[in-house]
Amino acid sequence: MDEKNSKKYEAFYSAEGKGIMLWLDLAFWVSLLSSTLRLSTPLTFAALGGFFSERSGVVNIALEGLMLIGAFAAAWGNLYFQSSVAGVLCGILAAMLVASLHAVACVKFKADQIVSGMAINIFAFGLAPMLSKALFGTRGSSPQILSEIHMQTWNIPLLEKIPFFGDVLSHHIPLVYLAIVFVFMTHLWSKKSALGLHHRAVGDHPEAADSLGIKVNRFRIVSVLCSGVLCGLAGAFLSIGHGSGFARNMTSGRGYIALTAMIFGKWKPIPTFFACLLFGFTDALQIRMQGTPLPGLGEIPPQFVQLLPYVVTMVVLAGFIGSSQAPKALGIPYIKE
Amino acid sequence: MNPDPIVRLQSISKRFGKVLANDRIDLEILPREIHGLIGENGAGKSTVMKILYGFYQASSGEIFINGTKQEICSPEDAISFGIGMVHQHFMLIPPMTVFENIILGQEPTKAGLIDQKKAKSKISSILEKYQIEIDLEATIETLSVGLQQQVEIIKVLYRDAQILILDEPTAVLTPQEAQKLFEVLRQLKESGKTIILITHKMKEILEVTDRVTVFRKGKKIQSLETSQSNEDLLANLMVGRKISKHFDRSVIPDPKTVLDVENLSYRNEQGLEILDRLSFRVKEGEILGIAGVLGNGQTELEHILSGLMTPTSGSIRIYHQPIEGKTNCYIRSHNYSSKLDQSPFGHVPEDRHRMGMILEWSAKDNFLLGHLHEKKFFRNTLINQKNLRCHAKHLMDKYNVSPKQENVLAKHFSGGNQQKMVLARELDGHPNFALISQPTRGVDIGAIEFIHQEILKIRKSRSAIVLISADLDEILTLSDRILVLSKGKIVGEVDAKKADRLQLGMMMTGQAA
Repeated sequence: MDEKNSKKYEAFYSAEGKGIMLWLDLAFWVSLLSSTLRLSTPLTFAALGGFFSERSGVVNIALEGLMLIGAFAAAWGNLYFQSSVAGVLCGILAAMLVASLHAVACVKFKADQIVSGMAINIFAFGLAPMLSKALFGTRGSSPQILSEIHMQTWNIPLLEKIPFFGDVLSHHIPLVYLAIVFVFMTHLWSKKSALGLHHRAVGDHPEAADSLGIKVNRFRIVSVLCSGVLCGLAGAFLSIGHGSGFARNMTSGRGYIALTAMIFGKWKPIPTFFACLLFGFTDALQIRMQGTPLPGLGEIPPQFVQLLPYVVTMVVLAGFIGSSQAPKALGIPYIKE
Repeated sequence: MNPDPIVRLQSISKRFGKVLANDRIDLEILPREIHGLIGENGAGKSTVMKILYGFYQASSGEIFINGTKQEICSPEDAISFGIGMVHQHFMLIPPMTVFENIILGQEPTKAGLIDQKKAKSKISSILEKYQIEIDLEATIETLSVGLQQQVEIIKVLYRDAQILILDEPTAVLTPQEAQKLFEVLRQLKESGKTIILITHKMKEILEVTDRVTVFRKGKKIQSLETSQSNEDLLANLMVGRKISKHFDRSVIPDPKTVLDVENLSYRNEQGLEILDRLSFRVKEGEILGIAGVLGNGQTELEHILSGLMTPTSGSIRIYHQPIEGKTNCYIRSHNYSSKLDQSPFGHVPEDRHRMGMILEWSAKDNFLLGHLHEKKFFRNTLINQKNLRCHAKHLMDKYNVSPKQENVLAKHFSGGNQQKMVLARELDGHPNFALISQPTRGVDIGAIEFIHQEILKIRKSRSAIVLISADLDEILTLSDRILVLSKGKIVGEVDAKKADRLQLGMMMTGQAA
């Protein structure tokens, strides 16, 4: 968290101690929105990963596992090479490697995509603690990444000068900005480029794409690998961007939430981004509501408050899954007659 | 002297597992002709064209384009040789726009992005040339089937195809849309394109093609000038023997009334009157044809007579015993007459894939459907596999089903063979009352003839038959009496001997005869 704001926030909170006043304070909103942006970043990366895979027709519930592997490898890379950039690259590489298992299983061997994805999640869930024991001698978490080698935040010139918006949008680590850039680039790529058109065609009607000379299976494999790259970034954000080290099961369901965001966003990059912001917001709110009395309700037990992002996920899933926006050939391996 | 062929196939064979789909096909397509390929379902005409388009690779044989030998390994190769194909099942992506579908795979790009301007100007020049009007920004799923097909044709032209292959293009079109398509095809020919038209409809071949090649059972039978052929000749070449038009219609002595329907009405959930006070009787050895434009209550009548739906009012009796509101199971298993050589009820449903059979089951298991109450198929509570297999083999033999393999899944049989199996299962017991709906929909001509003969056989063995069909020719050939159904009412009853197509057609569309 940005130091200046958090000080302001804490000073205010301890001085007043009254929840109702909190909601009217600008500093509180700056901190809430700034943290929304941060917390939605891993979701955005992973959801874009989901977009690449699913738009090409491969269901990817392995986002969770890929993220976890990415987070672990990024932490290891950061510590081993003493560089956060190397950490991010390690995260990407590792997640891509594991994603290639999913790609080969689903595309080459026509396995059931849900089963393959689930297997990868379970595999990742076990692999990360095992490697942490082997590499760090710990039970599932990495040593702390000290601030000298930790990823630094960026202050955006000019932007940081704007009141309120500057405080919300500036002072983030580069990955936050990268995620936003990726959203718009993906949108442009999907809508306006030839490859983007092929990508959608392969997921909607592989036979048609094949009949026009598009290599369906090759395209799908590359798409799933892309999904791995993005999950690697998401994982890296969690362990070495936002956090300062890997912790056991640190993704805590964010992969599934990202998948939900993508479904809520109708398999389109920009709506997906807004869905990620919504989930990021609920997460940020949840953190701030712990121990804060709500006007009229008083203090809500933190266990219930922590449920918030998951409850929103379930409501969204119940309301939006099964709508006809999904790629038509999603989940169906392409087998030439 | 004929010009040099633009496409020459030499001794093309294609094997799928055990099945030889194409057996040494030699074929020459001349430039600027409309060449028809005709044959029954599964005769190999589509397969050979999919080989030419690079979708399949031939097991052996050679392809010459413009006189030079070419290897076509993928649709991409075919496109580069100027070959385009309009598939029977459209290769369009429903949620995408017309524009996106046309350029897919051949997008002009500028700095990595699609060059919309360049693509659009190319498309509009094609649209102008052939006077086709279409909204490029409309999504495919909002277009009619006829328009979708035009998009497919534009797609092929956009790829600068000189040779267009159209696979069963009229299967999904209304007659008006088909006429429009033929006009476009003639125009394309005028502008120098070569067209290959795959179809199993003889009328189309005679109407639009210059030359025609007949396929049968994976072999090319003959290529001939369309002007020197006619329907009978083509039919004989396709089937390999003379199609018999002789039907045995002996008079059944002393027929009793079997089916007695009185004041049958059905109102659906929305309160619409689907069937309105129908009354009719069918005697032993009589075929009552029910004619009408689809959707005038035929489906509901079929479902009510077979116990799948309950009528709102009215009575249905078989040999004086009421069956209205009874379940299908009851109707199938009840004893209506003392005749032991007849099963009670047989039902050939209109949609054989949804109701006639279970496609994912083997042929053998499909023969069990509707006969679950029969003791001979069971030993205690288990299925008597031996009896069932015997029964299946016997029926497949009797009804000429091929391949004669009872363990093959139903979905792997052709439409005609599937229908023969349904017929065998339902009609082999010479039912007291046979309800037959659309028996020859999607069935090739050889099988149609066979199915018609089978229906007449059970007529001879004193079954009372209700035949519902959208095919007027079928109704006219088979029926003894014809009822015309329009908007749920019987608008006319005609003796089949005196029936006249025109008069029936007028009744069907609700105009007073």
